[in-house]
Amino acid sequence: MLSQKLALGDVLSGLALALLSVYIISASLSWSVIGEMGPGPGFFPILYAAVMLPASLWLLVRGMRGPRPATAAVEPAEDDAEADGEGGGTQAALATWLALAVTVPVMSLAGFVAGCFGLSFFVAKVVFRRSLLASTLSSAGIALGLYVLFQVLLDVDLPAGLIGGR
Amino acid sequence: MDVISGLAHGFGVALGPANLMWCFVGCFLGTVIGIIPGLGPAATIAILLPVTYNMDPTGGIIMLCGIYYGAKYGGSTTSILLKMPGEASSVISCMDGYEMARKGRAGPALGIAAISSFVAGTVGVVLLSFLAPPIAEFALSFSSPEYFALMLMGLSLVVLLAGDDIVKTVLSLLLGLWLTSIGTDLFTAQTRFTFGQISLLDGIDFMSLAIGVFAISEIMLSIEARERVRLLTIPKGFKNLLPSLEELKACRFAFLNGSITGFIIGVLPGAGSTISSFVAYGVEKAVSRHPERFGTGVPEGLAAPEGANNADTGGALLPVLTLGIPGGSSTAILMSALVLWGVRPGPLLMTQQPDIFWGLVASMYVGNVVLLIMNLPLIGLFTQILRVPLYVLFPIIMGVAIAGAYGVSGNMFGVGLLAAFGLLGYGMQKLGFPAAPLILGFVLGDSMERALRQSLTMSNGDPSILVARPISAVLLALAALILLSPLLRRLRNRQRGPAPGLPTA
Repeated sequence: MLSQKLALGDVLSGLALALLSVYIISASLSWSVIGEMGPGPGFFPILYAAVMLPASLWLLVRGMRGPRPATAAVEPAEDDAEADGEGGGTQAALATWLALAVTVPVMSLAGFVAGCFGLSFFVAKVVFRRSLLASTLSSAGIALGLYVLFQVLLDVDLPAGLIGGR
Repeated sequence: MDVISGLAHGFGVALGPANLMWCFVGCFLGTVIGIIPGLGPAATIAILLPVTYNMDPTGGIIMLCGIYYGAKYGGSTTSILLKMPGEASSVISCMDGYEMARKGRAGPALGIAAISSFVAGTVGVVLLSFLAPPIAEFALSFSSPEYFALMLMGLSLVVLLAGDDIVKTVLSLLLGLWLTSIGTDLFTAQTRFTFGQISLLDGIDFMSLAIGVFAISEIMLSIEARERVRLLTIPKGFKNLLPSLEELKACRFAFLNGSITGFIIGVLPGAGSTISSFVAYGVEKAVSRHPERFGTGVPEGLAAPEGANNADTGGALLPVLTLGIPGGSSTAILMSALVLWGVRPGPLLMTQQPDIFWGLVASMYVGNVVLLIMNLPLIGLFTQILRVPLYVLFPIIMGVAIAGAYGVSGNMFGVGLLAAFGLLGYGMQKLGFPAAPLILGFVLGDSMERALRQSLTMSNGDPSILVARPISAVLLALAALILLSPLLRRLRNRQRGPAPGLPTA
């Protein structure tokens, strides 16, 4: 199962990187490649994209041919459910990332302390399923603690919100 | 300045109260993050870089290097007590270290790991001290073609050694080269791959990339794995941490093996301390009179890899400090730190900025002593860190990462990139793409492009300049040999036919 997933991953990543190399080559050709003053801005990107394109196509074809026997023999032990911890490991990891991504606009609007509190609360309450009180207290402690450490003690600027507050 | 007077000058710098404090802080933080599984030195150094902006560069690099080698000391603790390596380089220490602990020898196992780390770490720094000056002198004869050839050879070694899958390693490296091309071309001011974003005109911020790829992705992987902590007990009292005389006698070759193997492999770009610890373990087992006992809790099976992953530090810093070419992700971040402070690592570093070069080298001697002291009597205190709940630890790391990314870029775009690169790093890990080549490609890409374009400008576009100069020609030939070696090996295996016992169809 995991090998099949890896093979599908190889197909998708191979395809994405092949498209990226085509984009790099086409964009680089629109700039000077070799000029009177020597190589131009398009020269180096074309060189590495020329290696990237066949390498990514190789990966794509290899993935389409299915899982390799060597990996198939090794990987079943760490298959899906086990690798995913309690079944929801991947969802929990992606939910944490999503919370981080949402924190970016939240911090732009409401500042570091509010954004950090929201992110910490989400991780404690939703990802680790702590009680409301424990989640609130730990999140407030983390947000304020980091604010004091960076802004007050180390004099490192933290994101300021549009509606005020750090 | 010769080595002895350089070291004397360095100790004068390193033993100053401020630098001594930064050395202690770095070693302390390194030990802490080494103990925490899932958070590596590369991520920690990247996160803490903004904090060091206002520091004196000498103090800053002493602290960041302390984190780098301190993490290797701390990494063994969880391998021995939990069978869960705090660092990738301590994976092999789980075998005999954990078995010793299970047999009630947790204290001596921790003691052997600390003593071996101290001995090999110190040998690595001695070798760094004496080898750096001649290498730097030799590198002074290098011009753009030689530098390009050297970087190409380094990256070829990375391709060969950094991952199991060469195609994915190459692609990871090339992705790093592309990411570093984003922004404004320094030769012509042409904007490249900016997608119309003004924020990308200055290029991608290295900190957002490094913190995202290492710290954020590591948190996501740890959350996914839902690791649980079950500590074996550590005996109380300093005496119970000391190995017996027989155990120390059994380890005497392992100390030497770990020191030499670790240093040599450390110099190789892309190899890293994980490979050095595995090789040292393999050598130790191969020369042992009782190889069958390895894995059952023999002290030399712990001493060799623990020594190697610490001696590796001196080796890994050699090309960074003398040539300005890093071989791994942590050294790449350390080099970026030097560049951010306006210090140019390379052959002139030790003559133009002796405080930084010799101060750092001397601080590593001091740091090894500090770590030995810290890791023996205070080990019980450090393991308490493992009791901090993950729902508290992970948001703290993410908060510090956000503060770090914002501190460098000064805008929320950098924080957005941090999140994006976190997802990229996680995806790379899941799909089997190694992250270190991406970082090395990113760090070296700019210098590599500059060296190549300068070489071709010098020769009016004639590429034969790269092979017409002897050093450059030799380095390029080595690069070609390194890149072709897997192919040659495969051809040789095919000629020999299938291995006996394996099915043929």
